[in-house]
Amino acid sequence: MSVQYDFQNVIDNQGISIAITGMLIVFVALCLISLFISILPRIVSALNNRFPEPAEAATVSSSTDPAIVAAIGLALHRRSQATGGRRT
Amino acid sequence: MSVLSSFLGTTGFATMTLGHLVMIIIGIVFITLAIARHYEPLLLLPIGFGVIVGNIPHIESMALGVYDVGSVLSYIYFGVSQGIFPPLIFLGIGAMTDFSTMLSNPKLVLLGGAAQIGIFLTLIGALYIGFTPEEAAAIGIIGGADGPTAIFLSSKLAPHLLGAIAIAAYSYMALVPVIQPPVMMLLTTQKERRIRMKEPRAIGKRERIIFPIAAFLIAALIAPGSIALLGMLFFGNLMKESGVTERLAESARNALIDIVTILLGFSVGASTQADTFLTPQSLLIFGLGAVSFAVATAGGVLFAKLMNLFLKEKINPLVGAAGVSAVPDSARVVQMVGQQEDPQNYLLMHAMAPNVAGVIGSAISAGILWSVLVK
Repeated sequence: MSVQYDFQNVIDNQGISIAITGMLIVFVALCLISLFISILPRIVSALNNRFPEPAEAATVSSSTDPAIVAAIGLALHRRSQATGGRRT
Repeated sequence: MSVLSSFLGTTGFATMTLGHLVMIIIGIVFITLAIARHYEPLLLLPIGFGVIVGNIPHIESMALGVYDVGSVLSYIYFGVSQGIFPPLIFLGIGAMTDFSTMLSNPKLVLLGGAAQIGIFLTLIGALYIGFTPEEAAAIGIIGGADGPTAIFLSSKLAPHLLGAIAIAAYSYMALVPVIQPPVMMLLTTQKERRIRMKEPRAIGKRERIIFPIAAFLIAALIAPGSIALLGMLFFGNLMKESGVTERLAESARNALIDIVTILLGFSVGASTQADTFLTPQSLLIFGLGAVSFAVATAGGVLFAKLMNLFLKEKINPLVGAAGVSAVPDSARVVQMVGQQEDPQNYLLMHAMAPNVAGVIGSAISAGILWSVLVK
C-alpha cells in the first residue's frame, strides 16, 4: 500500500455509497429496534392479560434515588479501576 | 565447538534486530501501563506479554510463531484469525449486560447509531489515503470502539492488518477518558451539560426476555453478517434474563469470557511481529483510529443536540458520546464530564443506554461492511 491522497480512490471504490448506505442501514435497524422497544410494554401488557406473570417475577424496579445511582456508579468505577473493568 | 557455534547462531541474541527490540520495549510499556496505570489491564497485560513472546527471534525452520504452520501459537491464534474468539466474548458480554436502561428510554438507541458515523467517515478517509476497500472497512471499524468487533471484521476482510487494528482499537479504548472529554466540551454549552434527564422506568421481566429475541431477529434479518456477533450477544443476554440458565450465564460472563480474553489478548500480541507491524501502514492505522474515535464521539453528541430540537423532554447531549461502544468506559466518561458541571446530575444510567446500543450498532455496521465487501 502506498500513500497517495487521491479522492479518485474513494470514488472508484464506491466509498461514499458504502458510507451512506451503511449509515442508513444501521439507522433503519436501530430505529426498528427502538420502535419495537416502544411498543414492547403494550405487547407485554396484552400477554399479561392473557397469561398473568407470576408475582415474584413481575418487575425489577430501576433505582429511583439518585444517591443510590451515584453510589452504584462510584462502586462500579472503583471496581473497574481496581480490576480493569469490562470492555468491549 | 562447531555444535556450540551452530547453537549460538540460533539464539535470540544472534538474530535480534532493532525492530524486535523496539517491539519488546512496546510490550514492556503495555505491561507497565497495565500494572502501574491500570490502563485496560485485562487486555494490555496479555497483549503486552504476547508482543514480547511474538518478537523473540527464532530460526525459520522452527515452528514457533503464530504464523508458523503447526506451532502451538498458531493453534491459539486460529481463534483470532478465524473470528472465533470475538463471538465468544460477545456471549459473555451479553450475559453481563443489562438492557433495562435502553428499554426504558428507546429513543436513546438512536444515539448508538449516530456514533457509527465514525466508522463510515474513517472508511472514506482510509480509501482517500490509498487503502483498499477491505482494508479501509477494517480500519474504519476501530471507530466502533469495540475490540472484538474490530478483530472479527479484520479477520474477515484484512487479516494482514489484524495485529495493528487490534492494538489500535484496544489502545484507544484505554484512552477513552482522554480522547472523548475535549470533543464533548467543544460541542456542548454549559447549559446543555447541565440538563437533567428523567429517571428510567421500571422494566418487567417479560420485556427483558422478549427483547433479546426480537432485537436479534430485527438486526440479523437486516444485516445477516452480524449473526455471529449479535447472535452470541443476545443469546448470552437471554441466558441471563430467562432466569432458568443462571449457571450457564454465570459461566459465560466469568470463566468463558476470562479464558477467551487471555487467549485473544496473548495471541493478538504475539501476532505483532516487528517485520509486519513496524510499518508506515501501522502508523496510518493508528492515526485513522484516533480520528475515528473523535468523529464517533462528535457524531453521538451532535445527534443528541439534533434530537433535542424535536423533543419536549431534552436529552443531555453528553449522553450521545456514549454511543461509541467502549462499554462501560464511555458511559463513565459521560458521568464524569456531566458531574463537573453539576455534581448532583447522575448520567451514568442514561449513558448506558446508547452505550449498549453502540455495541449493537457497531456489530450491525461490521455485518454490513462484511456483506458488502466480502469476495
